[in-house]
Amino acid sequence: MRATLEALGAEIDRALDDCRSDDDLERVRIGILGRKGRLTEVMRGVGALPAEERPAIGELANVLKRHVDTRIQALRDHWAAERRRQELETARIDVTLPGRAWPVGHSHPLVTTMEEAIAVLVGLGFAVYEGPHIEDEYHNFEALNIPADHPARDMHDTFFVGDGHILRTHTSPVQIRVMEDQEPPLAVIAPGAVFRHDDDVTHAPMFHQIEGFLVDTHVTFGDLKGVLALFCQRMFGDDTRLRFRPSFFPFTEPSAEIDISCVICGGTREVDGAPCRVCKATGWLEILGAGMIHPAVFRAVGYDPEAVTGFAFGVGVERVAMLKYGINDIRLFFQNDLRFLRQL
Amino acid sequence: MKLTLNWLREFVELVLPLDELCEALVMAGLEVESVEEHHPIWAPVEIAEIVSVAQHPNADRLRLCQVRRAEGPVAIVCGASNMQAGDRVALAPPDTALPDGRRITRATIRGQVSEGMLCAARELELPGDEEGIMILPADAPLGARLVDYLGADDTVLELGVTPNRGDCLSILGVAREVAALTGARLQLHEPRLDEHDPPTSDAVKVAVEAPDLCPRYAARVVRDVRIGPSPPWMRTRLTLVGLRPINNVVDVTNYVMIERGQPLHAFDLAHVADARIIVRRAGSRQEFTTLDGVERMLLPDDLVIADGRAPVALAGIMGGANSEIRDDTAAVLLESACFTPTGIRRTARRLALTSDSSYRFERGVDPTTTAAALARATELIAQTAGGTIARGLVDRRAPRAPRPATIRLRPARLNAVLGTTLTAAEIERPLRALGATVAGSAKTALRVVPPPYRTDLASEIDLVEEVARLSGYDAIPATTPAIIAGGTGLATVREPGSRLRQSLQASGFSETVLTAMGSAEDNRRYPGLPDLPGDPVVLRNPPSTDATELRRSLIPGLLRALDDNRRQGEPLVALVASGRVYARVDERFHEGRALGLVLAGTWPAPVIGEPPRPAAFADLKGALQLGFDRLALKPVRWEPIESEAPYLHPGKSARITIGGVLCGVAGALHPDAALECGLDGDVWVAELDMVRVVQYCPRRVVFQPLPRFPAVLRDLAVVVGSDFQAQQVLDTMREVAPPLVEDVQVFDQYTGAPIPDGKKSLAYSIAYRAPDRTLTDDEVNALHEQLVARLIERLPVEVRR
Repeated sequence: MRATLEALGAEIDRALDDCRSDDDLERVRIGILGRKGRLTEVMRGVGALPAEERPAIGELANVLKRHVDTRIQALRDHWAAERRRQELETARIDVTLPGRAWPVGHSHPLVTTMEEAIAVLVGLGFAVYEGPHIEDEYHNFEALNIPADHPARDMHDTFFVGDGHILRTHTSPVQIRVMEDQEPPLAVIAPGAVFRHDDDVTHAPMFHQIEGFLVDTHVTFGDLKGVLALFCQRMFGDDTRLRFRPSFFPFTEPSAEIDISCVICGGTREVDGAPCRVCKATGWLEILGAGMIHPAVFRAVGYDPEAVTGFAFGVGVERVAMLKYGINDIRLFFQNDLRFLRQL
Repeated sequence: MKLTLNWLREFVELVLPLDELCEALVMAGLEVESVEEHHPIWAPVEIAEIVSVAQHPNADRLRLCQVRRAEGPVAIVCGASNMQAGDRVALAPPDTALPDGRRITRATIRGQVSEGMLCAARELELPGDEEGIMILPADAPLGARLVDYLGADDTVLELGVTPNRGDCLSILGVAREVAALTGARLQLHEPRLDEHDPPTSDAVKVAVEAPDLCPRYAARVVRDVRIGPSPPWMRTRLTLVGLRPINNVVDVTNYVMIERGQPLHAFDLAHVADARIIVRRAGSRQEFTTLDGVERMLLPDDLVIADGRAPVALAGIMGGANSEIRDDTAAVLLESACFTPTGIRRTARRLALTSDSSYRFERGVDPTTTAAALARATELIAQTAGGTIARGLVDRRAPRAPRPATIRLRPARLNAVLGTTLTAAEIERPLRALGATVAGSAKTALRVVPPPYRTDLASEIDLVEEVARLSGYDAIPATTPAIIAGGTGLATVREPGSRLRQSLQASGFSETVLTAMGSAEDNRRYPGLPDLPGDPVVLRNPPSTDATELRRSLIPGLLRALDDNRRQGEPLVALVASGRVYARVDERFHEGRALGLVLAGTWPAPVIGEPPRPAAFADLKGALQLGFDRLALKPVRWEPIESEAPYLHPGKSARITIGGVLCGVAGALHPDAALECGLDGDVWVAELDMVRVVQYCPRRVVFQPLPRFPAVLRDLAVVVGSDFQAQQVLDTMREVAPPLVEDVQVFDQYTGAPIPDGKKSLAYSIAYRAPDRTLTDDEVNALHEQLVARLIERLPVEVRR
């Protein structure tokens, strides 16, 4: 029995030596260790041996089995390592071929700017409201202290849709709608589309504004300055400087137009020695209109102008987006050319 | 409003350099829109006198002139022939550069020496289109530089004047502002008139029958004028500020309007019937020809200036052709009046006729300047057109002419609005600088009377603004308020739309912004979602012929964007738009919120070595469903479309319902519609009613605990008729599912052998799970058999084993 095992051992070693692949190895393994394998049969036969031979032969058979397992594993590891080595030597991809374009959609710079501005203002404590695009003349004009025959209406070339209704020329009527509906304190922004009948090809008949207003018992022009400074610095960078110029809007007084230091030249008025073209070498860019809410507006909504004060501001979203992204033609926003949209 | 610095200097000393002056004006609310420097390069041109004119000995077309310069006579060869001895002319001495690039030299022309050139107006880019050289008035000072004589060396500022500051629409008004800002003193020239009998009141009768529209009307008469060009300096100045010189009388009225802000009109007195002026309403519809030659229809309420017979001017807007100043006018009737803004504006707007005059009246003209401006114009007419000034003026004032009222200004209120701590003295100083009178107590209220030319200052807040403006907005300290107002506003409405758009963007759809306007044809073809009520909203004054209505659907705009992008050669276009859609229901207006998608081309974008795949319905549905899942919307159902959207392919489109309510449509564009907009291949579109979608969004998402025991999956393939929908089997299985069936999904569809013709195989995956233990094979097998048996009972399906 011992001799048989030894002979088997030698035979197995030869068979394993001849193996050249995992398939060969598997065939040999089954021949040895399978259900009808040679070693399996030997080990099955151990039970029939006389009791005094069993431990020694059993031990021998086990040693042989461990030897076979070890050799098979070693061969497999060896060949796997060999395959990895070959793969490393031969496998080559052309890394200069273009990558696969994942189908990803792009944000629109106008929507992005709008959402960013809303997020900044919501962060400052303002709540968001919207109003109708089709407004009545009362909310768009009269309640905002713009009577029918006032020359300020020249600032608003209006689209008419009949029955005393128009397309809102600004987001300011939302002020009226919210104040008619609610009592102060109010901190509200109203983003959205507005419409003006502009003959100028560089103006779009539809564009976007964000109106903001704060009404409370002690709101001051100084508060307006502080809030707008925060807003502009978050939108354009912490080193943005602001300039408040007196202006005129019928629904605010005092009124101001707000310039920020030029986003291109930083207010130095020149770029590489040449006059800055973005701010026309003034160092400033007009960005917002604002002011203290006019007492006539408070009276129109039934507030007591002696009891409350408030500020309001309006910002043109296209203007902000054009400055932020260096876009020089407002029409690009509405053409939706993917070559344009993909840039964001 | 254009003005020149030299003109401004006649009223106020300019103590600041130009850039600081501009800065001061800007920071006071007068925007400086442009600064034009006019420094003629022909500055050496001087005023000389023709001594003699002779024929050039060697050239028929040339003249040889002896010309007297300040420093002595010179000979000039000249091609023109309109001069004679004694004329004052413009002589360009050698070395003078001309605007056209030429440089004058001492030259010998056909054998005769010429020591310079006599200039024509157009050679110096000056107004005037006379033939030949410029002949200057006889009083032009010999030897003076022409540029000084004309005032052609000047700087022109263009100011943006806000509608409330009508007082700044004049040199005088800006000078007042400069004086208030810089502390310089205003200097006002007082006209001196050499008046003669008979008095004006004999020459013309004035009656104001509409004092509500014309609180003041003043007139003067100048007889025996000679109409001709106005003096060169006046023409130069008018040209610099953008006005076209016409004749001496009309130019004076324009000059004084710019200088004093008071619009004036000059009539030919001979053509004022009965020498009567009646300021009245037109009274009836009638045609009237304004002096620009246009016939205009007047309405009964329009204010006119009439003579004894008929209207001779559209009050405050434009004169009539019938009474305008002509070359043979001998007697001039000068009108200086104050008309109320609203009347002027109404008429001017209706007639779409804006003049420099109506522009000023609409913004308010100082009622106290009427007579002074009239005197100034009379003085200038006498200087430029000669004639005799009739004694006195006719001045009709409404019984209660508007007077500046006293305004109470509470310093405490001012500081409360501005957030400042200004003292009474700091408040009074700028008000006084404006020309207001200030009295009263600083503790309670100041009593302020604004100057009459500031018609915009009527209430306390107006004065608060003036104090802030003149003290400088920069001086107001910025503060950061603690905003404690409550309310979330429309966050709940906006947020789901924003999340859906983000999800669609992640699925490959780029965001677009579409204009709200479209054509009637767009609205006819794409009437919007089935529940959008009413008719299109029609614009009464559309911006263009292809934008006459407000859109009812986002799809036409998306299709245009698709078409534009395909023209650019984009292989795949996937766009999403959101926005309002509009409808009119009787006299009311409705605004809906929509979200639209368009998808066409090959998907995903082709890569090397892989064939492109056309975008399919599943791509559109997958992207949308992913978005719905992100909003936790349920139950969302996709069903074959019925007749909801005629622009969709009836066999390749779906209606989307949420909780049984129609919320949108999605599918292939109808081939006819695709053909109409020039698109070929499948174009996938969708439109959602976002108002409804938002209604079905759960207010909060509640997380489910993770299962503790594994699910066991069983597949089931059934053979059904080929018109069977996967959903039918799915619905039935869910309906009859025994307990512990957690989920049923369809995962395959197959036609072809061995499935018979007219049939298809659908494969479903069923997940079984118990919450408290791992299911055994036997348990699952029993449940699955039960499910299959119930399914066969309910539907004509054959189970593939």
